[in-house]
Amino acid sequence: MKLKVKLFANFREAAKNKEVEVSVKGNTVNDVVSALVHDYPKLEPLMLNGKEIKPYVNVLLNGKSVRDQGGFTSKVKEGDDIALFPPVSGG
Amino acid sequence: MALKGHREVQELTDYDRKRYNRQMMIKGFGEEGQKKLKNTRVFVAGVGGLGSPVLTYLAVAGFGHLTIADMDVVDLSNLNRQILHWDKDVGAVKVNSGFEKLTRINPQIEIEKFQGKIDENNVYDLTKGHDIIIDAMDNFPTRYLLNRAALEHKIPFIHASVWGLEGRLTTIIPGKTPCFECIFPNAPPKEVFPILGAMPGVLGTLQVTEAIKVILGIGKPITNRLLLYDGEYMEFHEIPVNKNPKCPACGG
Repeated sequence: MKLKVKLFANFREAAKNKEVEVSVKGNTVNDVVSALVHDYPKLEPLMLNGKEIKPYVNVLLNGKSVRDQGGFTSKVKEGDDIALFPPVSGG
Repeated sequence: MALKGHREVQELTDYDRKRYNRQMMIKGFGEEGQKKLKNTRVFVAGVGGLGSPVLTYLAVAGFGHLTIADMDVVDLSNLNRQILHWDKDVGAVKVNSGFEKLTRINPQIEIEKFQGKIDENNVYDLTKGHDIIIDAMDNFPTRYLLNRAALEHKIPFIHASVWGLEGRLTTIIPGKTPCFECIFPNAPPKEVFPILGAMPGVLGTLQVTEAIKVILGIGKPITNRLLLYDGEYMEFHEIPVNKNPKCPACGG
């Protein structure tokens, strides 16, 4: 399925886009991130530790953090609104 | 509210009534509100990009006591955003440079300096006796410590952070809202981050707005919500945030 993903901060810089469309094989947040990293390899060091999503990566599924839902194995479906943002530390 | 020893209540003077007249006209503010600010002790961690606007606006609002903490000296590359520091201050200790400007911006308030690193041994004592902590730090490890101190003293913690043309903001009320560690259980890697001075300008003034509201009990603070400010597209996104029942800092 095709999904649109919104990106913030250095995720956006790495993909050079505020929003990207990816073809996702599978139906979990993990699969969305795999598809993203495949299309935008510069995201890999920011988002992945081997095959695992780095714990600091915040994923919003339809406006809510997946941390409060099923984590990175949360199910996604066509039309879902997904946003990825890193915590930022600047002051 | 936490009190450091005996605190004598400061009354408003005629000077105060005139100086703060325009803000006392705000709904829910009045002389009573101004007196609350005069008797409020604020701990501001960081006298840098966020700290500069935060401290400037806290000072002009008439908060009676500001404690300013920073370990660094002013670097030329700070000056694109750290508006309390000027060219002549390059090489100076930031708390001294900040103190000099703030005492001139508002000579009527009390300002206490701490030059050094906030660590797990001193954070509780440094923040003790304050009514609110404002996060103007540039790193996650110190933010986690300040969050713990706010939980320990049961005082509000106003968080902001910035990156590039973006910023984040949330207000933490111990016992009522998720804490900083509930929201950000994992720190991002350390980096030299890109930043435009106007971003901490926006976020810092939002932090002061929150501090005023929380102290006066007016309006609705950004609790249980995280603001994602996207300056590149001029969008303000709000994300609901929840307590983590397994939070090692607050226990959920």
